Amino acid sequence: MPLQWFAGFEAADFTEVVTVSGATVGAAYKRSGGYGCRLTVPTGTTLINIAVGNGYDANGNPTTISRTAYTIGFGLRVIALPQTNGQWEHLVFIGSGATHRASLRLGSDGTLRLHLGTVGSPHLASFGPIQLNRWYFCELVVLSDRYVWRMDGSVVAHGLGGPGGSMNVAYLGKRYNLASQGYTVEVDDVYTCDDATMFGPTVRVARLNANVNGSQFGWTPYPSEPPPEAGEGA
Amino acid sequence: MDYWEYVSQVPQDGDATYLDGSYPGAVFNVGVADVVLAPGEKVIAVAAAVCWRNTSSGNGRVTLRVGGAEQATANFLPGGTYDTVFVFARNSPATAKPWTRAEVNAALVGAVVNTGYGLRATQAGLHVLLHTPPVVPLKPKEWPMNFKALESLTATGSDQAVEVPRGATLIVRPLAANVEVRDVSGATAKLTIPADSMVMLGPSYGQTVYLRATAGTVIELGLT
Repeated sequence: MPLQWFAGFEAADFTEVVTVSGATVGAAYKRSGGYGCRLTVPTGTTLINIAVGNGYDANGNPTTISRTAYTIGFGLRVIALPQTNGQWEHLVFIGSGATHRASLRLGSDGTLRLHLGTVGSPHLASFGPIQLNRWYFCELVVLSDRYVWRMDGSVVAHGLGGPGGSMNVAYLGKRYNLASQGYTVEVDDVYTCDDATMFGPTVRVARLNANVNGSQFGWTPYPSEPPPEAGEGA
Repeated sequence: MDYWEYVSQVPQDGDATYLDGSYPGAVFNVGVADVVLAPGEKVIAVAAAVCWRNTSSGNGRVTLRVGGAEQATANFLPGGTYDTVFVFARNSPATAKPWTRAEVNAALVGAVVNTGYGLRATQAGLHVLLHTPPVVPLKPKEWPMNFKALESLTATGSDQAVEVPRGATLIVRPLAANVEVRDVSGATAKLTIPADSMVMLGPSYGQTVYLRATAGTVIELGLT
Protein backbone atom coordinates (compact mmCIF):
# COMPACT_ATOMS: atom_id res chain seq x y z
CA MET A 1 0.00 0.00 0.00
CA PRO A 2 2.63 2.58 -0.91
CA LEU A 3 1.18 5.59 -2.70
CA GLN A 4 -1.80 7.05 -0.85
CA TRP A 5 -2.44 10.42 -2.45
CA PHE A 6 -1.07 12.88 -4.99
CA ALA A 7 -1.71 16.40 -6.22
CA GLY A 8 -0.48 18.55 -9.05
CA PHE A 9 -2.96 21.46 -8.86
CA GLU A 10 -3.79 20.72 -12.48
CA ALA A 11 -7.44 21.66 -12.11
CA ALA A 12 -6.26 25.16 -11.13
CA ASP A 13 -7.77 24.73 -7.67
CA PHE A 14 -7.08 23.20 -4.27
CA THR A 15 -9.67 20.46 -4.31
CA GLU A 16 -6.91 17.85 -4.20
CA VAL A 17 -5.67 18.94 -0.78
CA VAL A 18 -7.35 18.56 2.58
CA THR A 19 -7.27 22.19 3.65
CA VAL A 20 -5.76 25.37 2.29
CA SER A 21 -4.93 28.55 4.11
CA GLY A 22 -3.83 31.54 2.06
CA ALA A 23 -2.07 29.64 -0.70
CA THR A 24 -2.54 30.49 -4.35
CA VAL A 25 -2.56 28.40 -7.48
CA GLY A 26 -1.27 29.66 -10.79
CA ALA A 27 0.34 28.77 -14.06
CA ALA A 28 3.51 30.66 -13.17
CA TYR A 29 4.08 28.39 -10.17
CA LYS A 30 4.16 25.11 -12.04
CA ARG A 31 6.94 22.59 -12.01
CA SER A 32 5.13 20.40 -14.53
CA GLY A 33 1.76 20.45 -16.24
CA GLY A 34 -0.27 23.63 -16.26
CA TYR A 35 -0.43 24.83 -12.66
CA GLY A 36 1.44 24.91 -9.38
CA CYS A 37 1.02 26.28 -5.88
CA ARG A 38 2.62 29.32 -4.27
CA LEU A 39 2.87 29.84 -0.52
CA THR A 40 3.60 33.45 0.30
CA VAL A 41 4.16 33.63 4.03
CA PRO A 42 4.23 37.20 5.33
CA THR A 43 6.44 38.35 8.16
CA GLY A 44 4.54 37.94 11.41
CA THR A 45 2.32 35.21 12.70
CA THR A 46 0.03 34.70 9.72
CA LEU A 47 -0.15 31.04 8.76
CA ILE A 48 -0.05 30.12 5.09
CA ASN A 49 -0.15 26.44 4.26
CA ILE A 50 -1.81 23.52 2.62
CA ALA A 51 -2.62 20.27 4.38
CA VAL A 52 -1.80 17.36 2.14
CA GLY A 53 -3.78 14.15 2.16
CA ASN A 54 -2.60 10.64 2.83
CA GLY A 55 -5.67 8.85 1.63
CA TYR A 56 -9.27 9.30 0.49
CA ASP A 57 -12.48 8.70 2.34
CA ALA A 58 -15.32 6.59 0.97
CA ASN A 59 -16.85 9.65 -0.68
CA GLY A 60 -13.66 10.43 -2.60
CA ASN A 61 -12.48 13.34 -0.51
CA PRO A 62 -8.77 13.65 0.28
CA THR A 63 -8.32 12.97 3.96
CA THR A 64 -5.82 12.41 6.73
CA ILE A 65 -5.32 9.00 8.25
CA SER A 66 -3.17 8.14 11.22
CA ARG A 67 -0.14 6.14 10.17
CA THR A 68 3.11 4.96 11.69
CA ALA A 69 4.99 5.65 8.46
CA TYR A 70 4.74 8.85 6.48
CA THR A 71 6.51 9.72 3.26
CA ILE A 72 6.05 12.98 1.45
CA GLY A 73 7.60 14.07 -1.83
CA PHE A 74 7.18 17.42 -3.55
CA GLY A 75 8.72 19.78 -6.02
CA LEU A 76 10.08 22.84 -4.22
CA ARG A 77 11.15 26.20 -5.54
CA VAL A 78 12.20 28.82 -3.04
CA ILE A 79 11.51 32.37 -4.10
CA ALA A 80 12.25 34.39 -0.97
CA LEU A 81 13.95 33.48 2.31
CA PRO A 82 13.23 34.40 5.91
CA GLN A 83 14.75 37.78 6.70
CA THR A 84 16.22 37.48 10.16
CA ASN A 85 19.61 35.90 10.45
CA GLY A 86 19.59 32.71 12.47
CA GLN A 87 15.82 32.27 12.45
CA TRP A 88 13.90 29.35 11.01
CA GLU A 89 10.36 28.62 9.97
CA HIS A 90 8.52 25.41 9.19
CA LEU A 91 8.47 24.53 5.53
CA VAL A 92 7.12 21.01 6.04
CA PHE A 93 5.36 19.99 9.23
CA ILE A 94 4.42 16.37 9.86
CA GLY A 95 2.44 15.82 12.99
CA SER A 96 -0.22 14.08 14.94
CA GLY A 97 -2.71 16.88 15.03
CA ALA A 98 -0.75 19.82 16.39
CA THR A 99 1.98 17.62 17.86
CA HIS A 100 5.28 17.87 16.03
CA ARG A 101 6.67 14.60 14.69
CA ALA A 102 9.07 15.79 12.02
CA SER A 103 9.71 18.95 10.07
CA LEU A 104 11.88 20.63 7.51
CA ARG A 105 12.65 24.23 8.34
CA LEU A 106 13.89 27.01 6.14
CA GLY A 107 16.49 29.48 7.36
CA SER A 108 17.55 32.93 6.27
CA ASP A 109 20.77 31.57 4.78
CA GLY A 110 18.82 29.27 2.47
CA THR A 111 19.55 26.15 4.45
CA LEU A 112 16.97 23.46 5.08
CA ARG A 113 17.10 21.61 8.37
CA LEU A 114 15.51 18.33 9.42
CA HIS A 115 14.01 17.99 12.89
CA LEU A 116 12.57 14.78 14.29
CA GLY A 117 10.65 14.16 17.48
CA THR A 118 9.57 16.97 19.74
CA VAL A 119 9.31 20.44 18.27
CA GLY A 120 12.33 21.68 20.19
CA SER A 121 14.62 18.87 19.18
CA PRO A 122 17.90 19.93 17.56
CA HIS A 123 18.23 19.46 13.84
CA LEU A 124 19.59 16.16 12.61
CA ALA A 125 20.76 17.27 9.19
CA SER A 126 20.88 20.25 6.91
CA PHE A 127 20.95 20.90 3.18
CA GLY A 128 21.98 23.98 1.30
CA PRO A 129 22.21 26.80 0.88
CA ILE A 130 19.68 26.20 -1.81
CA GLN A 131 19.49 28.26 -4.95
CA LEU A 132 16.56 30.61 -5.28
CA ASN A 133 14.21 30.16 -8.23
CA ARG A 134 15.41 26.63 -8.87
CA TRP A 135 13.18 23.58 -8.67
CA TYR A 136 14.32 20.87 -6.29
CA PHE A 137 12.52 17.66 -5.50
CA CYS A 138 12.36 17.02 -1.79
CA GLU A 139 11.42 13.70 -0.21
CA LEU A 140 11.15 12.90 3.46
CA VAL A 141 10.49 9.45 4.88
CA VAL A 142 9.58 9.22 8.55
CA LEU A 143 9.24 5.69 9.85
CA SER A 144 8.71 4.62 13.43
CA ASP A 145 12.40 4.06 13.98
CA ARG A 146 14.28 5.77 11.18
CA TYR A 147 14.22 8.53 8.63
CA VAL A 148 15.45 9.30 5.12
CA TRP A 149 15.72 12.72 3.55
CA ARG A 150 16.50 13.13 -0.14
CA MET A 151 16.91 16.16 -2.34
CA ASP A 152 16.78 15.63 -6.10
CA GLY A 153 17.08 11.91 -5.49
CA SER A 154 20.30 12.11 -3.50
CA VAL A 155 20.28 11.19 0.15
CA VAL A 156 20.89 14.17 2.41
CA ALA A 157 20.48 12.24 5.62
CA HIS A 158 19.28 8.93 6.90
CA GLY A 159 19.52 7.28 10.24
CA LEU A 160 17.87 5.82 13.26
CA GLY A 161 15.41 7.94 15.13
CA GLY A 162 11.70 7.95 15.68
CA PRO A 163 9.08 10.66 15.40
CA GLY A 164 7.66 9.74 18.81
CA GLY A 165 4.35 8.37 17.64
CA SER A 166 1.96 8.04 14.76
CA MET A 167 1.40 10.79 12.19
CA ASN A 168 -1.83 11.86 10.58
CA VAL A 169 -1.19 15.27 9.01
CA ALA A 170 1.42 16.99 6.93
CA TYR A 171 1.49 20.62 5.94
CA LEU A 172 3.48 22.43 3.31
CA GLY A 173 4.13 26.00 4.33
CA LYS A 174 3.86 27.63 7.71
CA ARG A 175 1.36 25.86 9.93
CA TYR A 176 2.77 26.88 13.28
CA ASN A 177 4.73 30.02 13.87
CA LEU A 178 8.30 29.66 15.07
CA ALA A 179 9.96 33.04 14.67
CA SER A 180 7.52 35.31 12.85
CA GLN A 181 9.53 34.97 9.66
CA GLY A 182 8.14 35.29 6.17
CA TYR A 183 9.17 33.47 3.03
CA THR A 184 7.84 32.51 -0.39
CA VAL A 185 8.00 29.06 -1.91
CA GLU A 186 6.29 27.19 -4.70
CA VAL A 187 5.34 23.53 -4.56
CA ASP A 188 4.06 21.13 -7.18
CA ASP A 189 3.82 17.40 -7.92
CA VAL A 190 3.15 16.34 -4.35
CA TYR A 191 2.65 12.76 -3.21
CA THR A 192 2.40 10.85 0.04
CA CYS A 193 2.99 7.21 0.85
CA ASP A 194 2.50 5.05 3.92
CA ASP A 195 5.82 3.31 3.60
CA ALA A 196 9.33 4.21 2.49
CA THR A 197 8.49 4.43 -1.21
CA MET A 198 10.17 7.37 -2.92
CA PHE A 199 9.69 8.14 -6.58
CA GLY A 200 12.39 10.74 -7.00
CA PRO A 201 12.55 13.86 -9.11
CA THR A 202 11.13 12.29 -12.27
CA VAL A 203 7.64 12.10 -10.80
CA ARG A 204 4.97 14.43 -12.17
CA VAL A 205 1.22 14.90 -12.22
CA ALA A 206 -0.74 15.33 -15.42
CA ARG A 207 -4.40 16.08 -15.97
CA LEU A 208 -6.37 14.56 -18.79
CA ASN A 209 -9.41 16.66 -19.56
CA ALA A 210 -12.70 15.39 -20.89
CA ASN A 211 -12.58 15.41 -24.65
CA VAL A 212 -15.07 12.86 -25.93
CA ASN A 213 -18.49 11.48 -25.12
CA GLY A 214 -18.73 8.18 -23.32
CA SER A 215 -22.26 7.16 -22.56
CA GLN A 216 -25.07 9.25 -21.17
CA PHE A 217 -28.51 8.59 -19.83
CA GLY A 218 -30.55 11.03 -17.81
CA TRP A 219 -27.98 13.82 -17.46
CA THR A 220 -29.18 16.97 -19.18
CA PRO A 221 -26.71 19.58 -20.47
CA TYR A 222 -27.23 23.16 -19.30
CA PRO A 223 -27.52 25.70 -20.63
CA SER A 224 -29.37 23.98 -23.41
CA GLU A 225 -28.34 24.99 -26.87
CA PRO A 226 -30.32 27.93 -28.23
CA PRO A 227 -33.05 26.96 -30.67
CA PRO A 228 -32.45 27.82 -34.32
CA GLU A 229 -33.49 31.32 -35.18
CA ALA A 230 -36.71 31.73 -37.13
CA GLY A 231 -36.20 31.18 -40.82
CA GLU A 232 -32.92 29.40 -40.28
CA GLY A 233 -32.69 26.46 -42.60
CA ALA A 234 -35.82 27.42 -44.48
CA MET B 1 -22.25 20.99 -28.29
CA ASP B 2 -21.42 17.45 -27.25
CA TYR B 3 -22.22 16.76 -23.64
CA TRP B 4 -18.58 16.23 -22.74
CA GLU B 5 -18.00 19.91 -23.47
CA TYR B 6 -20.14 20.80 -20.47
CA VAL B 7 -17.62 19.21 -18.10
CA SER B 8 -14.32 19.96 -19.78
CA GLN B 9 -13.44 23.45 -18.52
CA VAL B 10 -10.31 24.13 -16.46
CA PRO B 11 -10.78 25.84 -14.08
CA GLN B 12 -14.30 24.58 -13.52
CA ASP B 13 -16.93 27.10 -14.53
CA GLY B 14 -19.60 26.37 -11.94
CA ASP B 15 -23.15 26.77 -13.16
CA ALA B 16 -22.05 28.31 -16.45
CA THR B 17 -22.05 24.86 -18.06
CA TYR B 18 -22.98 21.60 -16.38
CA LEU B 19 -24.76 18.29 -16.65
CA ASP B 20 -27.81 17.76 -14.48
CA GLY B 21 -28.65 14.30 -13.22
CA SER B 22 -32.37 14.42 -12.96
CA TYR B 23 -33.54 11.01 -11.77
CA PRO B 24 -32.34 7.79 -10.18
CA GLY B 25 -30.35 5.62 -12.52
CA ALA B 26 -29.08 8.52 -14.59
CA VAL B 27 -25.53 7.82 -15.77
CA PHE B 28 -22.92 9.77 -17.65
CA ASN B 29 -19.30 9.29 -18.39
CA VAL B 30 -16.76 10.95 -20.65
CA GLY B 31 -13.51 9.92 -22.22
CA VAL B 32 -10.38 11.94 -21.56
CA ALA B 33 -7.40 13.04 -23.57
CA ASP B 34 -4.70 10.47 -24.24
CA VAL B 35 -1.84 10.45 -21.79
CA VAL B 36 1.48 11.56 -23.25
CA LEU B 37 4.33 9.58 -21.78
CA ALA B 38 8.00 10.43 -21.96
CA PRO B 39 10.32 7.58 -22.92
CA GLY B 40 10.31 5.02 -20.15
CA GLU B 41 7.65 6.84 -18.18
CA LYS B 42 5.08 4.77 -16.32
CA VAL B 43 1.69 5.38 -14.77
CA ILE B 44 1.81 4.99 -11.00
CA ALA B 45 -1.79 5.84 -10.19
CA VAL B 46 -4.78 7.74 -11.48
CA ALA B 47 -7.53 9.69 -9.80
CA ALA B 48 -10.79 10.30 -11.60
CA ALA B 49 -12.03 13.74 -10.64
CA VAL B 50 -15.59 15.01 -10.88
CA CYS B 51 -16.57 18.43 -9.62
CA TRP B 52 -20.23 18.45 -8.68
CA ARG B 53 -22.83 19.78 -6.29
CA ASN B 54 -26.33 19.09 -5.13
CA THR B 55 -29.28 21.33 -5.83
CA SER B 56 -31.84 19.09 -4.22
CA SER B 57 -31.83 15.60 -2.76
CA GLY B 58 -29.53 13.81 -5.17
CA ASN B 59 -27.54 10.89 -3.86
CA GLY B 60 -24.96 9.39 -6.15
CA ARG B 61 -21.43 8.26 -6.82
CA VAL B 62 -18.49 9.21 -9.01
CA THR B 63 -17.18 6.48 -11.23
CA LEU B 64 -14.01 5.43 -13.01
CA ARG B 65 -14.58 2.85 -15.69
CA VAL B 66 -12.30 0.81 -17.91
CA GLY B 67 -14.28 -1.37 -20.25
CA GLY B 68 -16.97 -3.04 -18.20
CA ALA B 69 -15.11 -2.66 -14.92
CA GLU B 70 -16.03 0.14 -12.56
CA GLN B 71 -14.45 1.63 -9.47
CA ALA B 72 -16.46 4.25 -7.63
CA THR B 73 -16.93 6.26 -4.51
CA ALA B 74 -19.66 5.30 -2.14
CA ASN B 75 -23.12 6.64 -2.89
CA PHE B 76 -23.50 9.81 -0.88
CA LEU B 77 -25.29 13.13 -0.70
CA PRO B 78 -23.02 15.86 -2.11
CA GLY B 79 -23.19 19.31 -0.57
CA GLY B 80 -24.71 22.38 -2.10
CA THR B 81 -21.43 23.96 -3.27
CA TYR B 82 -19.21 22.64 -5.98
CA ASP B 83 -16.59 20.21 -4.76
CA THR B 84 -14.33 17.76 -6.54
CA VAL B 85 -14.28 14.17 -5.41
CA PHE B 86 -11.85 11.52 -6.57
CA VAL B 87 -11.73 7.87 -7.41
CA PHE B 88 -8.14 6.97 -6.61
CA ALA B 89 -6.80 3.85 -8.30
CA ARG B 90 -3.30 2.45 -8.15
CA ASN B 91 -4.38 -0.39 -10.38
CA SER B 92 -6.66 -0.62 -13.34
CA PRO B 93 -10.19 -1.65 -12.36
CA ALA B 94 -10.22 -3.91 -15.39
CA THR B 95 -7.22 -6.01 -14.43
CA ALA B 96 -6.35 -5.17 -10.81
CA LYS B 97 -2.83 -4.71 -12.16
CA PRO B 98 -0.76 -1.56 -12.71
CA TRP B 99 -2.18 0.76 -15.33
CA THR B 100 -1.16 0.46 -18.92
CA ARG B 101 -1.16 3.40 -21.27
CA ALA B 102 -4.01 1.85 -23.26
CA GLU B 103 -6.13 1.46 -20.15
CA VAL B 104 -5.58 5.07 -19.14
CA ASN B 105 -6.54 6.19 -22.62
CA ALA B 106 -9.68 4.05 -22.46
CA ALA B 107 -10.75 5.28 -19.03
CA LEU B 108 -14.17 6.87 -18.62
CA VAL B 109 -14.94 9.33 -15.84
CA GLY B 110 -18.49 10.01 -14.78
CA ALA B 111 -21.23 9.85 -12.20
CA VAL B 112 -24.38 7.96 -11.37
CA VAL B 113 -27.53 9.23 -9.64
CA ASN B 114 -28.47 6.65 -7.06
CA THR B 115 -31.55 8.22 -5.50
CA GLY B 116 -33.26 11.57 -5.75
CA TYR B 117 -32.31 14.20 -8.29
CA GLY B 118 -30.53 17.51 -8.68
CA LEU B 119 -26.87 16.52 -9.02
CA ARG B 120 -24.89 18.96 -11.16
CA ALA B 121 -21.51 17.96 -12.60
CA THR B 122 -19.48 20.84 -13.98
CA GLN B 123 -16.10 19.21 -14.51
CA ALA B 124 -14.72 15.74 -15.15
CA GLY B 125 -11.17 14.67 -15.79
CA LEU B 126 -8.44 12.28 -14.86
CA HIS B 127 -5.36 13.08 -12.80
CA VAL B 128 -2.38 10.84 -13.43
CA LEU B 129 0.78 10.39 -11.40
CA LEU B 130 3.65 9.55 -13.71
CA HIS B 131 7.16 8.41 -12.99
CA THR B 132 10.23 7.67 -15.04
CA PRO B 133 12.26 4.99 -13.33
CA PRO B 134 15.93 5.90 -13.18
CA VAL B 135 18.18 4.24 -15.68
CA VAL B 136 20.39 1.85 -13.77
CA PRO B 137 23.84 1.60 -15.35
CA LEU B 138 25.00 -1.96 -15.73
CA LYS B 139 28.01 -2.66 -13.57
CA PRO B 140 30.38 -5.52 -14.32
CA LYS B 141 30.31 -8.12 -11.62
CA GLU B 142 34.01 -8.71 -12.23
CA TRP B 143 36.62 -6.71 -13.96
CA PRO B 144 37.64 -7.97 -17.42
CA MET B 145 40.53 -10.43 -17.42
CA ASN B 146 43.92 -8.92 -17.89
CA PHE B 147 44.75 -10.95 -20.94
CA LYS B 148 48.20 -10.88 -22.49
CA ALA B 149 48.91 -12.72 -25.69
CA LEU B 150 52.35 -14.30 -25.97
CA GLU B 151 54.40 -15.13 -28.99
CA SER B 152 53.36 -18.49 -30.40
CA LEU B 153 55.64 -21.39 -29.68
CA THR B 154 56.76 -23.75 -32.48
CA ALA B 155 57.20 -27.24 -31.13
CA THR B 156 60.54 -28.99 -31.51
CA GLY B 157 59.38 -32.49 -30.63
CA SER B 158 60.91 -32.33 -27.14
CA ASP B 159 60.06 -30.59 -23.88
CA GLN B 160 60.05 -26.82 -24.14
CA ALA B 161 60.07 -24.87 -20.88
CA VAL B 162 57.55 -22.12 -20.37
CA GLU B 163 57.78 -19.96 -17.26
CA VAL B 164 54.45 -18.88 -15.84
CA PRO B 165 54.61 -15.87 -13.52
CA ARG B 166 53.26 -16.34 -10.03
CA GLY B 167 49.52 -15.74 -9.95
CA ALA B 168 49.10 -15.94 -13.70
CA THR B 169 47.19 -18.53 -15.69
CA LEU B 170 48.70 -19.95 -18.85
CA ILE B 171 46.42 -20.38 -21.82
CA VAL B 172 47.54 -23.07 -24.24
CA ARG B 173 46.00 -23.73 -27.63
CA PRO B 174 47.86 -26.16 -29.86
CA LEU B 175 47.11 -26.06 -33.55
CA ALA B 176 46.89 -29.26 -35.59
CA ALA B 177 48.48 -31.62 -33.03
CA ASN B 178 48.18 -32.64 -29.40
CA VAL B 179 50.42 -31.11 -26.73
CA GLU B 180 51.69 -32.93 -23.68
CA VAL B 181 52.13 -30.97 -20.47
CA ARG B 182 54.71 -31.88 -17.84
CA ASP B 183 55.77 -30.32 -14.60
CA VAL B 184 59.15 -32.03 -14.73
CA SER B 185 61.07 -32.30 -17.95
CA GLY B 186 61.20 -35.86 -19.24
CA ALA B 187 58.69 -37.13 -16.68
CA THR B 188 55.32 -38.66 -17.41
CA ALA B 189 52.91 -36.22 -19.02
CA LYS B 190 50.38 -34.80 -16.59
CA LEU B 191 48.00 -33.71 -19.30
CA THR B 192 47.45 -33.98 -23.02
CA ILE B 193 45.76 -31.08 -24.68
CA PRO B 194 43.93 -32.12 -27.84
CA ALA B 195 44.66 -30.26 -31.05
CA ASP B 196 42.62 -27.14 -31.66
CA SER B 197 41.33 -26.98 -28.09
CA MET B 198 42.19 -24.51 -25.40
CA VAL B 199 43.17 -25.17 -21.81
CA MET B 200 43.95 -22.80 -18.99
CA LEU B 201 46.71 -23.94 -16.65
CA GLY B 202 46.97 -22.28 -13.29
CA PRO B 203 46.94 -20.05 -11.52
CA SER B 204 50.63 -20.58 -11.18
CA TYR B 205 52.68 -20.32 -8.03
CA GLY B 206 55.65 -19.44 -10.16
CA GLN B 207 56.67 -22.71 -11.69
CA THR B 208 57.84 -23.80 -15.10
CA VAL B 209 55.77 -26.12 -17.26
CA TYR B 210 57.07 -28.19 -20.12
CA LEU B 211 55.19 -28.49 -23.38
CA ARG B 212 55.93 -31.14 -25.96
CA ALA B 213 54.37 -31.68 -29.37
CA THR B 214 55.26 -32.95 -32.80
CA ALA B 215 57.95 -30.80 -34.32
CA GLY B 216 56.47 -27.88 -36.23
CA THR B 217 53.24 -27.75 -34.27
CA VAL B 218 52.27 -24.18 -33.52
CA ILE B 219 51.17 -23.64 -29.93
CA GLU B 220 49.35 -20.40 -29.20
CA LEU B 221 49.97 -19.06 -25.70
CA GLY B 222 48.56 -16.38 -23.51
CA LEU B 223 48.61 -15.23 -19.90
CA THR B 224 45.87 -13.90 -17.69
